[in-house]
Amino acid sequence: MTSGRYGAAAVALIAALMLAACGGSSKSSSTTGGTATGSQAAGTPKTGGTLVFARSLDAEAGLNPINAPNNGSIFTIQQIFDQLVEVNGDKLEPGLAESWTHSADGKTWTFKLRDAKFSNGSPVTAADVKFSIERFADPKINTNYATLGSSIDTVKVIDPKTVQIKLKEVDGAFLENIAMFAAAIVPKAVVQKVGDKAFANKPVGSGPFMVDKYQRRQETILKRNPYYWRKGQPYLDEVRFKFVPDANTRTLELRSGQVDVADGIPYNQVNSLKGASGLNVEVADSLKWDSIFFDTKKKPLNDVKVRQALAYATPNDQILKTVLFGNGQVANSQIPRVKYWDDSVKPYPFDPAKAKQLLSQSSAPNGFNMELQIPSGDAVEKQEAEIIKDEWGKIGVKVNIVPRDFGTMFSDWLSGKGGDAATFPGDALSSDTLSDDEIAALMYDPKAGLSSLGTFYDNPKVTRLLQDAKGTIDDSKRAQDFSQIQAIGQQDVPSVPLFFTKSVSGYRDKVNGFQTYPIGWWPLREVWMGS
Amino acid sequence: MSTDAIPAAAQGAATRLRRRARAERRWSSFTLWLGVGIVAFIAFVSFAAPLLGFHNPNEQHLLDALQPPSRAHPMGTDALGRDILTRVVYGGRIDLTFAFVTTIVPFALGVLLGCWAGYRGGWLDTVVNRLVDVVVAFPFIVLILAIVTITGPGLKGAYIGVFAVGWALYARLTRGEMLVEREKEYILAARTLGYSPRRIVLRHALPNVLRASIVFSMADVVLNILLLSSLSYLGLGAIPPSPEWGALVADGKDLILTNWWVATMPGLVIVLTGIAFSLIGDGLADRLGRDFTLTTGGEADAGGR
Amino acid sequence: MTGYILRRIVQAIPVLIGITLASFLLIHLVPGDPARIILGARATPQAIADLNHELGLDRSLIAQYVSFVGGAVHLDFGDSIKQNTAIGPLLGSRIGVTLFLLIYAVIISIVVAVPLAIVSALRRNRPADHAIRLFSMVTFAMPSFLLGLLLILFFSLKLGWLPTAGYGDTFPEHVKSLTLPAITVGLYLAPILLRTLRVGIIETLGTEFVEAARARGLSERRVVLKHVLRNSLISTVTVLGLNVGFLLSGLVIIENVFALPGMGSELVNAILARDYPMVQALTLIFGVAVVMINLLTDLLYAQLDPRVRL
Repeated sequence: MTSGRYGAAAVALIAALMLAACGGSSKSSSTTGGTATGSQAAGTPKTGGTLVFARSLDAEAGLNPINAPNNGSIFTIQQIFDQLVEVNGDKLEPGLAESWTHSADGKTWTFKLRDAKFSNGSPVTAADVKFSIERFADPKINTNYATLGSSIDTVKVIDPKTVQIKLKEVDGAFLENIAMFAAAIVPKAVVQKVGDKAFANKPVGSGPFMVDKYQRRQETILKRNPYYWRKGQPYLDEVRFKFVPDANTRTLELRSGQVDVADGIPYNQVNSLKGASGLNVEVADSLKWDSIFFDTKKKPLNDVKVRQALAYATPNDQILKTVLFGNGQVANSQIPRVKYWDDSVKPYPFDPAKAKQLLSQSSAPNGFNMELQIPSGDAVEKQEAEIIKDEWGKIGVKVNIVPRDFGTMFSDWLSGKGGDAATFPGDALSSDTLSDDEIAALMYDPKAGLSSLGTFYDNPKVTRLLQDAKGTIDDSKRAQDFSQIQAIGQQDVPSVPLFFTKSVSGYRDKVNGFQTYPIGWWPLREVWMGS
Repeated sequence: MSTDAIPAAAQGAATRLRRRARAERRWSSFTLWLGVGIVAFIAFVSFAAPLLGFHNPNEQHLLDALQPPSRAHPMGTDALGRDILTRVVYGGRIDLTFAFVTTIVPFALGVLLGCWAGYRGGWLDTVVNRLVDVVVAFPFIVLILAIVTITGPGLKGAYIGVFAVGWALYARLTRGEMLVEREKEYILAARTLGYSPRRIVLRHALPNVLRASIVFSMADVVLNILLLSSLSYLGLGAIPPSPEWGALVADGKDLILTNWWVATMPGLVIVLTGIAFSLIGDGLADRLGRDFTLTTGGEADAGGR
Repeated sequence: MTGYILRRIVQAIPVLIGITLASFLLIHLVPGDPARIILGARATPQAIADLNHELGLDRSLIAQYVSFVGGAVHLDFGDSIKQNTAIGPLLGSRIGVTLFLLIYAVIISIVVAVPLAIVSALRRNRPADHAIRLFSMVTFAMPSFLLGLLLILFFSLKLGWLPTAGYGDTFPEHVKSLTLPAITVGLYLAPILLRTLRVGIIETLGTEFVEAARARGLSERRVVLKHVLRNSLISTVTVLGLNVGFLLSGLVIIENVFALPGMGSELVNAILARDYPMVQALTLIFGVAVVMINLLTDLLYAQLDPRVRL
């Protein structure tokens, strides 16, 4: 993937979902040049060593968890801070909270805290937790992710090791929400003393690593937090994040041995990297996806037959093969595969004849012209757009490709100023939490704040189903609701889904224990360097 | 008569020198026409493409993607199975047109302005001079990037950018030449004869003052092509799927390890075209008695680009 | 001499003012609302208005310009919108990188161009000359990013001699990391330098000055070394001065290709991100740098060439 400038997007697409146990298999599927990967490391972990990691994004927007706007910052923040409940792969597990219980009505949650210290030596207290969660719940402080903390009513310190959170209403996604980075536990004394802006430059957290050197758009060096509560971890002495925005250069650095790990490997180099000695490739599932979004207010895209015709005219399988070299999955949903993804919903097959037929029955039987915006500088999106232009042209729809800078384009798109259709870098949009609720709301509910991801899609039936799912903690009920939503979404196609994108990373043989979580970041505390 | 008095050896030496000079002139002629020939060839193939059997540069054959050069595809195919040679040929239309227009227009603007300022002198001259200084002070790419951000990607921004900045060097060159030229006798004579300044500048001085600019314009052409391809490299050039040469190189940059031809073939064409124009520039320089980069008055530069 | 210096400085002032105006106005013409981009699309109109006020973007253009120039004089360029921190410190280390690359590239350029120009001039119109001129044409016409890519491919990957990208931590590492970029930029400038020098040397060789020296019996070698080199030095200085803008453009592109943490790569990013304050600061610095370097080269030129006295 050659882009990923904004990762989870300047707009936080947060899907607070309880991905809990099963659901769609979001486990890392990796292919390598030989040795085992992911968490199955060969041998016993050794302490010590430095990991040099070339990243496509940089934490240039600061390291303050409360308003981190994109994955550049978020993924670094995850190494420095802890939450009460934490992500482990596709599950949640205890973090700073050893255990928790909830009341029968689901509105009161009580968390028992473990012993832990911040990297400056001071203990993590209940007061710190209260402070942090209250900030998370305050839309004036938590400006980017306010909806995720909106169900929180009050936070009370019961005793030095117990904190109680009362919700305004039942929230089926509550646990996933407080597992996200914005709800990280920060030291009250430090933040109050230096303020948020300074804290973003010199963060203090209880996570496995602490910041040693922070040079925006160059590199960030993390070193081990001596007070980290997981005994024995992290194994590494140091992690050096090098910012290398060009995908080709990143891969070259990996090949030449200058770095140990590189993320965002271009699809076209996956095969040759797999064959290279000393190197491995991880192609991991993710919570990201790539679609062509339509502005459903614009004619003739407001006609569902037109949109369906375009869906039938899109050769997903061929694009997957030619552009992604097979590293991805054809999408059958308007949102990515999070927890309640239903694989029984069929994706649109490539059927130009059917497409023509639908179009002839629609409000634009003789075809029409449209603009498709793509992020400039992204080779993958460009190729996708060129293939689509070709195929849609064959059924009479003339597409003009308009490359635009991603930041501005995205922001314009979401406010409805953007034009007919747009597509974004494959790793730009993702879920920030492990549950479907938030991302589904963002996609389908025009009142959720992003105008249905710029499509202005509005279907009261779907909105009702969303509310139904959120208002219960009954898993099977939620699964049913989301399955229905998925089916309706595929019928209405406010966007033509292309792929569920994968995270493609490369790493050297001596790196053990490396994996990329579906949520996008890496538990670097588990990594150790072999010889 | 005087030659009789010169000893035979000296005569021999003189003949050798004359022969040498003739050989040099022939060589310089040869390189000039070689340059012209190459440009003409590329232009012909590009603009007469359909007649030569090159059709649709955007025709995709996804199953034939990334084929190395072969008889069927002399330059290979790209990631979407399009024939690279065909794309290069059609791309020539875009690049050559861009190069021509972005050279001619600033040339005209700059020369006229420089002429006038150089001839009149005074505050007009000072203002133009300062303006030229400011314009040339900016690394060109900075200006272009900002302008392209306003206009959006596509050739429009590149054209506007070059027009806005490209005239400056021609103005400076012409002004410099004019400062020298206006002191010449034939100009002074024209003044005494009462000709209007306009007539003097346009009819009498201009042709002589043009030489440096003409020679420089060939370098300018090359730089403009390179500029366009740099913009495409940054993703801000021609709009996909336009086969502009720089965009073709950018397409291939991620493939350079595995499929080298996608980037290097169009790259070679850019270099070849650049060499051709340089040959023309050199040849013109010899002919017009000026150097390609004009060293009189210390004016030797690449247009601030 | 001091009169000359003063005059040059005075001449430079309106240009500097022009540059500040241009860099200030340029980015304000760009569409897109920076406050909205920072806060994200979910921000409320109130939050956007608040941020606009905080950034001072709701003041009149004149007020903004005045505070821009006022701050710049104190090296206070305000805060970067995207990176939420003061610009000055951010640029500190970046300026060093770009400067290092610039000097390194100029050195390589001189090392390549001067000897080749001398050989080319001495062996005028012979095969060596033609070969050198061909080399010059090829490097002139070669897109710099392609050359950079090819160099990486060859020297970094195939031979493994030099790093692919980045800057390194210690001085020796910097030198290693900057070698390929410096060669690329050096070869970008070399053809121009080479041409000018070649013509200059040919001219010098033909002057009466040199004729006289030859007649006095000085060996060819000494003639060359003494007079030719000295004049070449003057020409080089002039060419460099005139081509600073060109050089800096090359730096911007190459910094991107080689992922160098310099001002050029920062500029591209800032423009794409609509980071107004950052773009203004960088454009200003670039413009001022060019003017300063021009001034320097003019003064150097005056020192070296006794014929110049304004």
